[in-house]
Amino acid sequence: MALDTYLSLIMLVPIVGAGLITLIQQLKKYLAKIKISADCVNHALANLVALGVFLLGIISVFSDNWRIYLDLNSGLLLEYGMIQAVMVTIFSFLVWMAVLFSVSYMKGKEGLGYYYALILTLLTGLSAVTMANNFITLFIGWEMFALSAYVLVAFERVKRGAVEASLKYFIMSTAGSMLVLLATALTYGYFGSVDYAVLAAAVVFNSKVVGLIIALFITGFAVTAAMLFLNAWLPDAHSSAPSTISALLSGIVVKAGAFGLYRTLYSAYPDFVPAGIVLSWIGILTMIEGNFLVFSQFLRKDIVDFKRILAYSTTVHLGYIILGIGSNTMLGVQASVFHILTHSIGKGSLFLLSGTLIAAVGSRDIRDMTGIGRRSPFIGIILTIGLLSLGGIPITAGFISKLMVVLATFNGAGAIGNNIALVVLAIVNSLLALGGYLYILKIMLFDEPVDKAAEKVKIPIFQMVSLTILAVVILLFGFWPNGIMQAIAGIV
Amino acid sequence: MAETIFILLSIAVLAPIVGAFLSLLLKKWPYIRDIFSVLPIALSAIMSVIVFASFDGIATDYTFAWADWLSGSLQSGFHLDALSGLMILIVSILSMLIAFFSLEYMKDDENKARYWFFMQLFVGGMLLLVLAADMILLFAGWEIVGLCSCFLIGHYFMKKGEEGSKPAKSGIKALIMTGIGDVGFLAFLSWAYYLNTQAAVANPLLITTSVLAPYPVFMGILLLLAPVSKSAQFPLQSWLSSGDTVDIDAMQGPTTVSALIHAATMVKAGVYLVARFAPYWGENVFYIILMILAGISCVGAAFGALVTTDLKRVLAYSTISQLSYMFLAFTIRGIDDGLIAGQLHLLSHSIFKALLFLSAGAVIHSVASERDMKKMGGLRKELPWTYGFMLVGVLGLIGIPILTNGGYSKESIIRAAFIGAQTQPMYWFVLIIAILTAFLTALYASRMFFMIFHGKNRGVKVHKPKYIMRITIGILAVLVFATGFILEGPVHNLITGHYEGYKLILTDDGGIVALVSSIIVIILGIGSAYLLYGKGQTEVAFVENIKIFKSLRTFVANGFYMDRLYNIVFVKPVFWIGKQISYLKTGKITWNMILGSVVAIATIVVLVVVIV
Repeated sequence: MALDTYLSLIMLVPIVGAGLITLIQQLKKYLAKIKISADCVNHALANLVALGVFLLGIISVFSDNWRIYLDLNSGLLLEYGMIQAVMVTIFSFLVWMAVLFSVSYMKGKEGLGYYYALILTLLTGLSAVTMANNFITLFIGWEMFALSAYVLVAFERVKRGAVEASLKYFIMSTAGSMLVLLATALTYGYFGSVDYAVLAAAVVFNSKVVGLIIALFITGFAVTAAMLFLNAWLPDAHSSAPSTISALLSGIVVKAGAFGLYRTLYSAYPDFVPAGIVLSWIGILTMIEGNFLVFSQFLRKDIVDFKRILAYSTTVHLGYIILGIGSNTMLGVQASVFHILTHSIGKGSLFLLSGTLIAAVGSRDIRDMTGIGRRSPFIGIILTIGLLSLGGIPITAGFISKLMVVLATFNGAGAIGNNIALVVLAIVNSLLALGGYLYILKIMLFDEPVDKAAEKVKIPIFQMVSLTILAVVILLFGFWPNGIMQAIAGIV
Repeated sequence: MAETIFILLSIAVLAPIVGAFLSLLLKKWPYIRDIFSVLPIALSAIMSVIVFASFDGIATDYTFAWADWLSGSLQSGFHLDALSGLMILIVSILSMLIAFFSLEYMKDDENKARYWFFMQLFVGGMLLLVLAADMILLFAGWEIVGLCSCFLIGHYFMKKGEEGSKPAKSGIKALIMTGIGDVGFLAFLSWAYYLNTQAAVANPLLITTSVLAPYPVFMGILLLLAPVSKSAQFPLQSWLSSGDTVDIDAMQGPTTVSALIHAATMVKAGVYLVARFAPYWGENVFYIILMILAGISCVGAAFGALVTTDLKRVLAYSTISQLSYMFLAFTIRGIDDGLIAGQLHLLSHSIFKALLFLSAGAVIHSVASERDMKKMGGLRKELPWTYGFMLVGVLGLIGIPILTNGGYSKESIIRAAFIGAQTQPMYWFVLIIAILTAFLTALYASRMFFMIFHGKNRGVKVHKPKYIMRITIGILAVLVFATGFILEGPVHNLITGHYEGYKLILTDDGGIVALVSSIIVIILGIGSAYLLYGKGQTEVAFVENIKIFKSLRTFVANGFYMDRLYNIVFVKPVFWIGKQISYLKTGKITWNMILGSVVAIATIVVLVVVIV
């Protein structure tokens, strides 16, 4: 029972924190009278809550007595194993970093309390998605984080395009959610249960309905996981949202889609190889689409949007994650989880950095940021580390995770010829992606600044701390991947 | 004992890597930082010497868990045998000397922090590469050196205008082009992992103990991409040396970087890789492909060196040519293995090419960063020391028998080719290419030497280099002579494991053929170079006048039009396809939903059909 309480804290702490922060925001005027700054309290509180969840997560990753069922309302609704522990840790870590970054980034913005409250609701929803042990709980968590995400994308609602992007995200994502709900309903109608364990024991792949259910789940989750052509919401949402929210969207929200796919293919309908192969090919096509779109961005005349480039790069990396899951092996899942980790810290750091840069130059256009890495070495270093990690170069974390994905794909459950084709395409795509990252590096670091007289960029302290932590973590996993590898290898 | 050696090796690898990060902290005290940055490399060198001295000839693995996701079955580690022992010795000692040299050479540079960071990281990565016992660490080292190479080539990117943009482009070009090799390597690695896990090998990625031989041919070709790109062989040579008119290549970096990375160590990684995996290639196809590629680059690069007027580019082309020489040696398999000859040439080439690059650096430093040999000439009076040392380097490159190390190793390659040709006719190809290249080498090396030091000064101002440069070059010059004698004796014995006698001249048929042919081509080469360039000429009359020679020269001077080809075949299509795909992204929600529905319906149809 003691352990139950401990684990329920992972869900309770952020949601209670969100409520508290909203309350303080509501009481802002009264607090001001007694000389208490509500914003200040909220900054501190949000950081504490995020750090708390992160600590709960990381302790459960490295402690032994972790696998337990949470008994809520006399039904088994949640489960907590190694994969949940790792995912919750990744989620809460990035949330903490974003919140820490926000202390400087969102300073003095209106509605700060609501912003933090929504981020913490997002975290609760994501935890619920990972910890659910049936499709209904998963769906509840799903809607919880999705609703927070829609609002957060439109948080700077006076900005042009933000509301449009949010609405587009809302429409597409809801369509996806509805497919998931339909598939859940069909599952219940056909098998009489939505519990993963029950389904896994009962399922036989001999009916068209089962194929339909799996296909509906895949497409439904694929909208959030930003797969081929289902990702039209992603670049708009990423580029219009505040940079911290872009980091969270790219770093953790889209990963929930990948987790849904994992649940479908491994927990509920395990060992159905064709689904994995279809998924792998969708992943490869997504990678190709994303890579070429990155290059097409550089040719644009109106605006070469830094955040949009990063957003397309996110779809490339989701391709890798899906490839790992599609391999239908446990090694593939471990590889995907590791890639989720490395991508979330790498891309998270770059999106957060984009917040600093946009504030410094007053534009999202990469051409206005020409040579900005020279003006401030700190920016140059963070940019280089982030881009190299995404490109999969050693001494950064991205190297081992990419390697793992490739190895897992080769050892996938499909035919060997199919696997070889997937691997070759994936590796060629990684070279293309590296080309794109180096193009960014060339413009932002190597090229001569347009504005010769430009001063050194000033970076607020909390932004600097947050970016430094992310860069150090990237290097840490790059130097000693075994530190986290043992935990990830515990995912069975 | 084993543990001690493991610790020594770890220190050798880790010291420069840790030192790289520590040196960043010494930002406020630049002078201390510079001295401090040489120390970790020196420490590595000391460790390497100790390890090499205590090496007993038995290949050993020292394993540990680095990226072990299968709990105990995916060990990483260091592998110490004659090849890696020799390599760490070459890498760490040359790195130390070149780092010492850069204290003087990079004295006035404004971005020394970056320089020293990547320099040290490079040494660590290179040692990791040659010591790695498993493919993951090998690949990690492989990528680290590529990354450092990129940033060190682009070191001068802060300069204004074209002086800054060219290095930046060159660095990125190097990383992307060697990235093609990484694709091959990664594909090979995953394939080997697959085959070995299928065969239930205990440590699927350990190179030496767990590799199932022979692999399918296609795997060999995938792996071949890696050495071809890293060692800049045809058709991927243009990142190292791209022709005078293109001028975007590795030579844009500081000369010390060219000496260390693009002559002595990193470009040898490809050669090392082929040597390391040599026991496992059963198929002749692999060697025939390697032979053809190496043959083309050997002669082509020699012509490149003959045409270019840029001092560093002569040496870069020469490096490509000499690397192909080693690959050619590796293709000779049979009774008298070319593998050993190739490794001997690797050792001697590292030393004399480092000497040549550093002397070239001293020359360039003395004439205020002028690289065009057309503007030099007659420098022997102003730079007598450099003149002498560079002469030694040129003699090593030409391969004067008995005296220089280059002579020993080159003759052993020609000898191996001759002996191999007695049984396998295809080795006549190697023999002909080897002798032809020996002639071309003598020609272009002497041409370079005459153009710099003889004739009259054609308009550069000279200031003399300081003692640090002179000491370093002097040590290397001594090494060119000193290592020559031991190549045929102790080093040869160490690699083969048989302790034979000690001979200065091999008196069998092959040895005589090698000696005689190389003496003839050296005399021919130096003689014709003296006739054509000895009096300080910069152009040759008959090339200027005859049209076919002139157009051939234009072809070579444009880097064989390789860059233009890659631009048309790879770069432009990528952007073009990107543009086409971007038309699908209209931003209109209706259109997006329709496209999304198509994907959704396709998925549903496929899965429903599969189930039936």
